[in-house]
Amino acid sequence: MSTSPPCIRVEELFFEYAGDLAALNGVDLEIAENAYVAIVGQNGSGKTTLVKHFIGLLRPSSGRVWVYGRETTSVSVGELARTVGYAFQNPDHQIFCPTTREELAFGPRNLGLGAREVAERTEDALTAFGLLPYADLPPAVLGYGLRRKISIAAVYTMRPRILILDEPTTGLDGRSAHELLALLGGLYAQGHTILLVTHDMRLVAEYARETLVMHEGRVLAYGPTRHVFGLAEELSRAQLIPPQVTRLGEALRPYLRETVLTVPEFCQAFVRAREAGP
Amino acid sequence: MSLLYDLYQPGDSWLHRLDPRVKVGLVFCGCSLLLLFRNVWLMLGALACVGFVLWSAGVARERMAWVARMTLPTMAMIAVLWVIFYRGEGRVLFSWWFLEVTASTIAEGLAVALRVGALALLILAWLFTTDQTTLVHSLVALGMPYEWGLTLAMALRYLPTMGNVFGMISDAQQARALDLTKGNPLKRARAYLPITVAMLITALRTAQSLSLALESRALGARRKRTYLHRLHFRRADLLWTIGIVLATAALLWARLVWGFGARPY
Amino acid sequence: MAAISIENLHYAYPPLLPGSQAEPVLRGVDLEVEGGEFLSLMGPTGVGKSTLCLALNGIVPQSMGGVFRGRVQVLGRDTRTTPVSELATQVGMVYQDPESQLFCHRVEDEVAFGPENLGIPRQEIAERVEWALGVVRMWEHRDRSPTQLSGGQKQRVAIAASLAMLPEILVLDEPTASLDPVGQSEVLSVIEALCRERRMTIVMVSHDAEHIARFSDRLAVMYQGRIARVDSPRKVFEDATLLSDACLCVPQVAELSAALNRRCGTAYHFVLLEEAAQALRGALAGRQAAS
Repeated sequence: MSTSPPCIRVEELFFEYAGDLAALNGVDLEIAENAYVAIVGQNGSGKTTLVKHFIGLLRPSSGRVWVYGRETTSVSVGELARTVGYAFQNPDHQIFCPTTREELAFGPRNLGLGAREVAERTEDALTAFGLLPYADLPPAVLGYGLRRKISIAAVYTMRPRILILDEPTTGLDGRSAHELLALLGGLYAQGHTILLVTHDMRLVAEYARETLVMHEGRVLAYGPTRHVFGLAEELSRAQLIPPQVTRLGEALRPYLRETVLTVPEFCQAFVRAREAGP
Repeated sequence: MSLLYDLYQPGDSWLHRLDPRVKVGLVFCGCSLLLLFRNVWLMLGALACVGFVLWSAGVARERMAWVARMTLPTMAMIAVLWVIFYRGEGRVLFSWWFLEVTASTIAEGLAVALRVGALALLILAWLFTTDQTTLVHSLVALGMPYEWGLTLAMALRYLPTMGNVFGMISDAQQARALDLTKGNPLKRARAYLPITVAMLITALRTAQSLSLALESRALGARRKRTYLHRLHFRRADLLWTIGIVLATAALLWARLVWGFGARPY
Repeated sequence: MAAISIENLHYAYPPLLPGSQAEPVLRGVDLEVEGGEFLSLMGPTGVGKSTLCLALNGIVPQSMGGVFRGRVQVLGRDTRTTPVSELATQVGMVYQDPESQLFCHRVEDEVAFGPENLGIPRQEIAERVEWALGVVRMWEHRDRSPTQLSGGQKQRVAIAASLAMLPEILVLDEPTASLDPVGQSEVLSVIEALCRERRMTIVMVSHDAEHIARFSDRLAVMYQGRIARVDSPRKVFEDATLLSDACLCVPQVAELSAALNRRCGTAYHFVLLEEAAQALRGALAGRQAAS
């Protein structure tokens, strides 16, 4: 694991919604800078509740959360938004402007940046996300895939060091999902920290460096994706199903010894096993 | 999930068990009477009465507190505005610039405020103790076109959903550094614009999906609709109906013929 | 006679701004679905899958307006002329978002809503509600408010609400898209049982290639407003050009077959995990035995 100080630190975090619904039952966590973490778990396991603490939308019932050394309870949501970007699950909860360009400019303007800086960042995001043809159209009437991209681009223009995405690929077809994650991969390569809350284990296996498994408000497992995907008992307790290729690797257990994450990996492992003999 | 937006609270009190048609009659008569009387002491009595009804119906304390939080500021504002803008008759108690406060304006203002409170509580008592389907059924049984009743019921059903959506949109926009706390009231109202617009768009989208779902379930297929649940008119309901009719008649007579309760105090 | 017959369907929604051109969404769709068949529909986002679903119960074009050409026949009735409320008794529709298709205060009332609209006698409504909730295994939850249910439970109630109309065809537009894995498997097992045990015709729009491979009889791929190919999932998943054009995902084992075939010159065509495990285990064991 990384030796630089963690960008997110969580200590004994407990959280209860009004009405005594315990959502987080003691979470201890450290996420390093420039990590790419997938957060997985059933609905109700506490994934969204946990990440909402990182941007200060929720305050701990007990325990503490630090983002880049600052405790989240001591900072306003607006301040945290400079460092932590959160793209919500439903893009329609963010979209309200008459043009895409204005939608992307909303965030930087709220941060108090000058007009020239805002325009520069907007153009950059439009290009990076392939949204130039739609720059002057109202986002509300565009298709779902585009609205999804726009909502993520709108968070990207704030240039947060940490980017949290809640289910960014639901409802997208295969190619759009891969395109989006490739874009995120690009951001990761530029040094951002990516936290991806998702159900799609296949995408997690292909893109996320680390995986965090949530179950009943606790962290069940956290580590490199390959290691976590090999923890059969934890995954079944959290009711998660690894990708087909990983399960196939398990089924061929005596011959294939490592946990396989992707199709190319499986090919390699299979060919090696074939050549290895008994 | 904000449970308070969900108006219906299941229970087994006398008000819950009262036939919904009788409840509609009770609310209608109650509201009409409240609008006819002007005496501040009667209004206070009426408010206390309706409050008692709510309490006896087993309405939870948090809910009563929420109702109080919602209605008391409005009532206070009404009373104050009334005193400021209305000039009554009788002896002037206090005068400043264009303001002339008499005992009758104070009484009137209080009476109007209390009336608003009583009206609100009466209608809430009805909505707290009647679930949607029964509500629609009772209104239709009393002659309202089904679509109107369904519209009302769906508005009630989607209150908690829209409340949730408001919370989520508010969170989402705050995550884009939207500041809802700084500035004068006008500036803060403007800050809510992104949330309001996003909510409107979401409401329109939901309405469209909803209309597709309604059509897919044959809404409007037949002029005569049947209902799974039967409305039962028991003896207790008959007694209540008689009681309500007699009380309303008596109070109407007292008000219109004797002028009882016509004066503010 | 086919249960569903679509001939040369062209459709454009009414334009957003008056006076502007209407964008055609469906550009010559031809499709036939046999009774009792489980047909899955895949395609890139925005290609018109939802529009095609709405064309099956008459909402397109009767409620939506727009420009409609061609013919859609469902169980022998023309969807352009038969009233939507009548078609609703033959074609049940389940949409993606449970929140905006469950609008009653209790599960039981939700399921009774359709039959009530049809003026069906009370006793029969009660029987249908009990049967429908039993099929989707939600009878114990009949007194609860739909807002308290999990995603998978909500979608099952939505299915029951459609079933109570006793349709012969069930159309589901991405019913599992917003659900977690547990919810997805709950809903899919209900749908699969409806097809196998009750011989309902199922048309399901989905992005999940693995579920499609496991449950569907046939898979139709939509591309550029038309049905580009309709065949058994196995054959469709082998058509690499089509899939890359239409931006679709195949089951991972199918992708794996293609990769292994390229690398080792084998001729594998897997679509299911079990067949891949069996074949590859055999290959490895055989190899070991040989060496």
